[in-house]
Amino acid sequence: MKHVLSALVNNTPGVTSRVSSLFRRRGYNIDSFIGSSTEDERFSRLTIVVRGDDIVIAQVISQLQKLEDIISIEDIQQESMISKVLLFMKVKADVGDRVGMIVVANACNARVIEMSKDYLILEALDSEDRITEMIEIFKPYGIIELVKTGVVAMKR
Amino acid sequence: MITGAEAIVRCLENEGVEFIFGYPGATVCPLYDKLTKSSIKHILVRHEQHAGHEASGYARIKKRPGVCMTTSGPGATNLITALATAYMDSVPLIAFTGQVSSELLGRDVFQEADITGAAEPFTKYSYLVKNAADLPRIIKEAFHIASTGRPGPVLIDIPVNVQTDKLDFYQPGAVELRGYKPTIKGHAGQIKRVLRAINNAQKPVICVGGGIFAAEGQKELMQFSESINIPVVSTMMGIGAIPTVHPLYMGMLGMHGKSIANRAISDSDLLIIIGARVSDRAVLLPANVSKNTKIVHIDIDPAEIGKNLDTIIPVVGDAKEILKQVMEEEPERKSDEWTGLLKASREKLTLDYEPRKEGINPKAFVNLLSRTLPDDHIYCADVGQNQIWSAGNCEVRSGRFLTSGGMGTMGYSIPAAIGAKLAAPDKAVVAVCGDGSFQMQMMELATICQNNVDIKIVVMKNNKLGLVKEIQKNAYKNNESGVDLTGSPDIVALAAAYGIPGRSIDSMDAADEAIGEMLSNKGVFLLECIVDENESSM
Repeated sequence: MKHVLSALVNNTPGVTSRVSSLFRRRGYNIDSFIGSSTEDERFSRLTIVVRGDDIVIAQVISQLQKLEDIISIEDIQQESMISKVLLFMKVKADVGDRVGMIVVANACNARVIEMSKDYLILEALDSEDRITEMIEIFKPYGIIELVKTGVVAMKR
Repeated sequence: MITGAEAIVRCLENEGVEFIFGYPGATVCPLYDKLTKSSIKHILVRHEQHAGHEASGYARIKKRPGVCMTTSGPGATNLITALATAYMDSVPLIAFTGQVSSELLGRDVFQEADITGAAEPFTKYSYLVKNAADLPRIIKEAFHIASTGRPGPVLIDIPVNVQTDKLDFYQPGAVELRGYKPTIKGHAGQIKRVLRAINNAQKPVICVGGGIFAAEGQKELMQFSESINIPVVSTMMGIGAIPTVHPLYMGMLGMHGKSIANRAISDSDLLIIIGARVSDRAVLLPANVSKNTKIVHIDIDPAEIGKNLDTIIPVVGDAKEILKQVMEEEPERKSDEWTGLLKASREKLTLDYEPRKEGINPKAFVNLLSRTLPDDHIYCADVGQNQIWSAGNCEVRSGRFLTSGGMGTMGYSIPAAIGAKLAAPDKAVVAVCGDGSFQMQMMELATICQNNVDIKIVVMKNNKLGLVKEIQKNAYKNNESGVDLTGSPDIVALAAAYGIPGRSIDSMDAADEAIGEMLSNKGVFLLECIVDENESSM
């Protein structure tokens, strides 16, 4: 089952490695791991998406809570959070395909942020499911490169 | 379908593994169960650290990854020092550790240790195997990673249930690792720049490190230095890259090196570094060197270039290949003026080989020992004053000088010698250690006896931790602290308890004859040499 963990941590070197190593120890692969500064420069916010057994994740959370550098950590329930993923995608765009692609992009709530004679770069900010869908929709055109953030989430 | 354990054994046989140095435990029992039916010989060590060192000695002589194996928890953590030692000296190892059953991972059950996490800074790569079906691919990758590019240890942590799970065995295809493609050939443009630098130099010097052995480029190095007439100095890891008696060899550089080697570097106008890291022990004040000297750095690891010394011409690739490439460009031969100057100063150096009032002269002794040994002997030096005596005075002709250069791990010499002897049974192998380091490895005497390993052991005994005592004398007003080895056993009697013949000498008068007795003895022999505690390392 998928879990979204939100942690407030000290903004010091080595914190991300301490946190991620606890998942590695369990042999869990992290889906996404986002860290950024907060309004208070002493702290950073980590948003971690990981799939795993509920009991094990609960255990990892209590182990994380013990770490001195972790101020607070919470498993945010899907229904009580707002979340978004940011996507950049470079897609092959032959002259013939271009107009159709832009229409599809609009329908997906994506913007064209760069256009060249061979490709388009699209930007989209949406829920994880819709981003996944959009990637599927554009696959037939030929994706050259894509990058997306993991889930950024906040409790309502 | 076969079990994971059977698959591991089959993969190791396919890789041509002859020996596994190891120590069993509950979480590697499935593997040990299958080993008895294999052509691979298991060498039971008496401490896991030495399993790693023995695999290291084996790897350095056999030029193939050495394999070691321990159980989970303490077995695995005991191995870490050996992994770190191999990592620092770029020695290819494959380390198997047992792990608790995968559903128990992270629960702190009996003998669980997060070894892939703990060993992370000391391994080139590590695997925690989750599916038995991955084993053939992982083992093939591990051998590839350990032995290519800059070699190093690879750890494979295998939960006990993965060893008993079944899989359809397959021969893995060629290794394809997207992010791992070591550069072998030097960049043509850089080779041209090296050529110009050599042609423009008046006083070039080659500084060679352990990388030359990994590239197996000793022959090319000698051709290179002889054909262009460039003197050679070495780091400790590079000792023996060209024979220490070679007219163009000026000795080891650095804090504990030869003054002539250091002078060669400080007076040079071109320094060609080959397969060396140039650590603080080699060049204490790198800023002073790079001010006057143009530096060419040849290394297979791009991260080493410019790390400790500012490099003018970096060349990434395999040392042997690059030396060949440079020679194909036919650099100009240098005149004898510069080499003649160095050779003349070298001849003026007086060697401190005078007999002592108390004890042997360790410098004269190791020199005599190495001269008495066959040309292709393997000399394993430990760490401490004995390492410096050996590095500075031992003659390496066509053999090898093995020591823990980067990590400086005490207790390396005897296990390394065991591994080296198993890799090259026809060669004479000697381990030289102090009485401090001997006591960190003396349990391996049992491994030697059990497997009839014919190595010769020399223990320099001064009842002190000599190198630390020397630091305390020079920098801490002679305040000796924690360096007295009172309570140590009678080493010759201890050897006798294992059935190992030995003798003790306390003056150089007996040295010749004692070395003769040791070398003519069939099988292991231990020679204790009494050294005055005030003997200095330089």
